[in-house]
Amino acid sequence: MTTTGRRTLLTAGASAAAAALTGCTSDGAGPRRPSPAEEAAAREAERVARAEAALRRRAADASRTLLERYDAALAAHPALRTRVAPLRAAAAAHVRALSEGDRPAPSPSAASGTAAPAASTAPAAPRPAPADPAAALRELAAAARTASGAHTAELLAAPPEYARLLASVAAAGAAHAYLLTEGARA
Amino acid sequence: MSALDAAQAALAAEHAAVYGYGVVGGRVAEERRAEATAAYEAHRARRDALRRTVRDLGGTPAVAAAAYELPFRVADPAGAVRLAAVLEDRVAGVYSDLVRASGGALRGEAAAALREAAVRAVRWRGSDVPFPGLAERAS
Repeated sequence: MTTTGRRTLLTAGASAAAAALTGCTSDGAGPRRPSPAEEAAAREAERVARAEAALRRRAADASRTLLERYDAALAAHPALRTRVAPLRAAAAAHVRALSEGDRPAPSPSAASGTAAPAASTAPAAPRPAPADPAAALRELAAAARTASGAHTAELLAAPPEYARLLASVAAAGAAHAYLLTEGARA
Repeated sequence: MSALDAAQAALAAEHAAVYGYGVVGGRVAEERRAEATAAYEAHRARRDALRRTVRDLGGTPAVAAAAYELPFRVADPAGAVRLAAVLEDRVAGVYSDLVRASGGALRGEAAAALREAAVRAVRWRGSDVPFPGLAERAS
C-alpha cells in the first residue's frame, strides 16, 4: 500500500525530471520546469525509496544468514532433522517473504545457467556446524536470537506493512530460539 | 486502522486473554500452573499499559466484558493448554496490527508484546507457526 504510494511518487519524480530536461527551451506552451519544491519532493521520495530498499535487503540478509546456519546444522547432523527441519522451513519462508517484490524475477535464460558468470561472485562456503549436536542446537538458537534482534531493530524505521511482517518474523525467531534450547519435546 | 483503533483492539484482546487465563488456571495441570500464572500476570500488565496508551492517544479505554465466549469447552488440562495457545495466537494478531498502525515507542512495545505472545504460544503448543500474528500467512 505504502510501497505503491512511494512508487507513484517516484514515477511522478521521474516525469518531473523529464520535464526539466525538455522544459528549458520552451516557454509557456511546452512542459513546465518543476518547481524547486517539486524537485525537492522527488529527491526526498528517491531517498526514502533507497533507504527502504536497503532496509529490506538487510532484513532478508539476516534471515538468509540464519537459513545458512540451519543448512549447516542439518548437513552435519541428519539426526536433528525431525526437530530442526520445520524451523528451517520457516526460516526459508521468512527469506522469501522479506524479499517479496524486491527485484523482478530473473529471466529463465539467465537463471538456467548453473555456473555463475564470474567465480569471484560465488558466495563463500558457510562455516560448518559444531560437531557436537547439542552445541549445534545452541549455535542455532543463538543465530535465531541474533536474527530476531536484527529484525526487531529494523522494524522501527520500516514502512507500516513491512514493519508488521518484520515483527512477526522477529517473534518467530524468538519462539524458535526457545524451541531450540528448552523445547526439547517438540 | 488508526493507532487508537489498533490500541483499542489490542486492549480488548488483552481483556479477553486475562479472562481466558482465569479459565486456563482453573483447569491446567499442577505442573504447568506457574506458567499459567506468569502468563496471566503478563497479560494483566499489558492490559494496564494499553489502557494508558489509549488514554494517551485521546481515547476512552475499552472495558472488559462480564464474560467471554470461549472457542471451545475447556474440560481438562489438555483443553486448558489448547485454550492458552489460542489466547496467545489472538493476542499476537492484534499486536501485529498495532505494529503496523503505530510508530516509535508504541511500535516497539507492540513488537515486544507480539514476540512474548509467540514464545508463550510455542511453549503451550510445543510447535511453531512460521508467521505469528499474521492470519493471512497462516496455512
